[in-house]
Amino acid sequence: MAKRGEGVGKGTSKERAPGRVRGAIRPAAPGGPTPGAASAPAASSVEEAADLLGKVFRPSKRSVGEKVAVKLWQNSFIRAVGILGIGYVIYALIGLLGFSAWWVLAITVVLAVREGAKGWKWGWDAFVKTILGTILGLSIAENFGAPGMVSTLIVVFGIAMAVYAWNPDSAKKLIGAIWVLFGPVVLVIVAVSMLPLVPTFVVATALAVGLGVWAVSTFVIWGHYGWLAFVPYVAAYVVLTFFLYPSIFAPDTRVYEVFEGQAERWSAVGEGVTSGWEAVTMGVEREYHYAIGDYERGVEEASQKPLGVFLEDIGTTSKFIYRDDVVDVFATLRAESFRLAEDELLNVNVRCYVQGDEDVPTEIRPAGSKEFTLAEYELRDLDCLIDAEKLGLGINTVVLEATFDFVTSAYLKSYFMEQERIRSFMRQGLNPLAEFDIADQDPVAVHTRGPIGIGIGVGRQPVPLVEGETPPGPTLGITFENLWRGKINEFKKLKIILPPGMGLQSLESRKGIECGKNQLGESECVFSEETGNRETLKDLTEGRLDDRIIHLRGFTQVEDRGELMQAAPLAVRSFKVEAKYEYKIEKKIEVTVREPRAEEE
Amino acid sequence: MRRAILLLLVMGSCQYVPDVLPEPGPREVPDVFTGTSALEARFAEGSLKEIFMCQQADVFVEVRNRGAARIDGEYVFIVEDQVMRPVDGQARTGRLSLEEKSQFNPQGGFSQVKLSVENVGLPAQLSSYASPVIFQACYPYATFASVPVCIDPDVQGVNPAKACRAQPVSLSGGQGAPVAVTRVEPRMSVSGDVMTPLFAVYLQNRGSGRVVSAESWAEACKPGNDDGLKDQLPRVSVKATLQENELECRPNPVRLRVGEEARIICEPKENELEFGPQAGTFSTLLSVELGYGYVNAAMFPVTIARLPHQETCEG
Repeated sequence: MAKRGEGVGKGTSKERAPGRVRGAIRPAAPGGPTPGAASAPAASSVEEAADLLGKVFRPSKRSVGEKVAVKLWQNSFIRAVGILGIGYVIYALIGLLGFSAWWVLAITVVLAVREGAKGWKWGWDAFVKTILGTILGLSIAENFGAPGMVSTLIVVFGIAMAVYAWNPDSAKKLIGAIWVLFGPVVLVIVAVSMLPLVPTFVVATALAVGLGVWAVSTFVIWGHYGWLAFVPYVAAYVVLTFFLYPSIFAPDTRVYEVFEGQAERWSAVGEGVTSGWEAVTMGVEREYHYAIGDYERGVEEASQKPLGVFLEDIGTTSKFIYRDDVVDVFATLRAESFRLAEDELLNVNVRCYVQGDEDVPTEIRPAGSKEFTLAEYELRDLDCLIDAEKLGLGINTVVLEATFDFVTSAYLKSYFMEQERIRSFMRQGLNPLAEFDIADQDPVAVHTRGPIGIGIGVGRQPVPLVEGETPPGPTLGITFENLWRGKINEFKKLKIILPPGMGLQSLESRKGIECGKNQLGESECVFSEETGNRETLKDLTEGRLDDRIIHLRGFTQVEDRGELMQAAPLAVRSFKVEAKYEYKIEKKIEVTVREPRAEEE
Repeated sequence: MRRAILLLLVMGSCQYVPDVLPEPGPREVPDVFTGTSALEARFAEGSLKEIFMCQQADVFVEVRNRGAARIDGEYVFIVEDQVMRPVDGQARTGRLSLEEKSQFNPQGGFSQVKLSVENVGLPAQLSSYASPVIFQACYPYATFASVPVCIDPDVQGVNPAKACRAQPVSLSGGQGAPVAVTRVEPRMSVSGDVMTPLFAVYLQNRGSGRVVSAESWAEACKPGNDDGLKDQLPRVSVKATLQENELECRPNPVRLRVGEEARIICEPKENELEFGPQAGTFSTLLSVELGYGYVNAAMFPVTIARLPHQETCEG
């Protein structure tokens, strides 16, 4: 084990070099005893040049102050802390990320000039190691304006490197302790910084794995004492956040800004984790419903345009608002929809409120508008104005909400064939649909884009028709799936269209459904306030609107076989579903309210 | 005088022209009894694959008889009525009549069938929709095979210099029909001094379509009842003739399984075609006639696209 004060770094010699002065910079022993010189490049010509420079510029006499400074500087620990601390202070003062790395380079040059090649080696090693940590944080954080991450990285890394320079064994223990105590913070910092670069679910998964590794390694490093890491860590976090926060992290200080940036990233992490988790739960829920037969597949139509109403580009005119100002939250309302009938234009209701305090008065502009009527492919800019005096100091969350009616359609192409014909094919080992040169033998419902997806299923195809006057038709399954992160307020109209010659016997065990014939001879069963099926629609959806997946099952029957088959051995027909519903989307943004400038002065 | 000399010159030159116009040699008669196709149906290049909502489209199907038997059958167009309908009540079914391949018409009979369809609208908010147009042809067909077989009463091989030997005959390339006789195995059944030939005939569907029974070919192109549909199994009736004597074949009709050869045994009726040792070994033709129904289908996808301003096709 290298003794205290001896050179550290990889390949450290365990033998004391001759003529060693405690605290002095040691001559380079085989294996690189110079502090932090483990990876120092073999640059003998450079060393010689530095040595020569040192001889030229090394003063013969030093002042007392100089001597003290040199003595202090000769202590590797002080040197390490000093270099990085000075760099960080400069960064904190003038906000230049990465300056600390250049500062280390400057110090390295000075050391080389004054102390010769040994100083150069140490400085070079420190520079390289510092760069490795700093540049990573620099390149990631600087792009996305989160100063808290880099500062945390620099501080943690600097401390670890300084102690390592002082005593590698202690450093290892310290690094282990830092990992145990601050591992989650470091992991979250890295994860947050990667959020804009990689998909949220990847970050969420990596973070979960990282935290798991941290939890396990805690007990590997500290054994049974691993539990001690959790308690002080959580306690310190709670104390800092809930008790010391008001006094230490007062607004308008750099520290506050650093942690505010960190808080934003935490919030982004939270949203990212939530999104990732939602995606996972959506997938699991979908598979579960599919396994128990309560889910009909549907794929989104490959349309070039996304359809729906969107609240986009939400922002505030200023992130920090003073109490005598007005909060202006703006956004763009965009409608993407194919042309609708004249009486079915898109009416969008916009609402703006403060989360947790909906009584705060707000004003939507254009003046007096809370309802916008949009045609296909239209954009509207809107603003939400709030008197900042009505808000509390600190972070306030403003919610912009849009409620609109939308129509989503779906269709399922189906093939009908007499049951005996199907059996004849099967007996011969032939695929009934392949014999008609049909490639798509397992059609999946296609639904238009929008907040809701619709899946339709009629069982195995081709649908067999049995003999009889009004034989039973296929069991019709309809699945509504909430694809966006908004909420279905209500279903206003549900239209189930069956092929000509078919009828709907019951839907979710409710019989007596009124259906008519449209111009194409299709059976059209409409469930809405205007039809006799209004109660059925209410019954079907009551209490289920918060479910992400709503499944309906209906029984059909063949009323006119000739009309269905149209004198052909195979009939190509489609089942259609059209749903009109009210959907609500919302976007949130945080606004920080501060004391007015006059009070500060 | 000059005219007389000119005339003499012309008459004389004609005698020395024989090499300029070669004498016509024996004309090569195309063998029409080859191949394994019957009806060939394909959608013509001019058929519209993409149409706009509410637009009409013409779909053309080129049909050609590539086989050696005449086609007198029916066709049916299957379309998705909820999306596309025949224009002006145009019939979706029709008769199909095509001449067989012959030495005078080695390409076989050709025709073009047209169906005009019109899009009647798309579901709300849907930007495009793909719908198939299916053409199916159903017709009775026949295969004529003449197989050279050896009748060899000398089962003990007394005569070393026989005209032929009773060996299996493999037939490749088809007989100008989708159901082909693939091989014939002659066997000599000896009873005392009398020998009766019998033949194992192998059949297989080598075409791209589907075999149905000759009696129910029409039901393949239209909806039917359960009894009629049960008869849709691929049964081929066989008639074999040897020296103008019709043979008894069993099973008849024979059922063809997908991808497999079917075997039938054909033998003379009682007391017919009995050969004694004095008959000698000789080669003759075994005529096999197969009767069945055949079904061909082809699908053509049509995509209907909605323009942004389009709502419905009404009005």
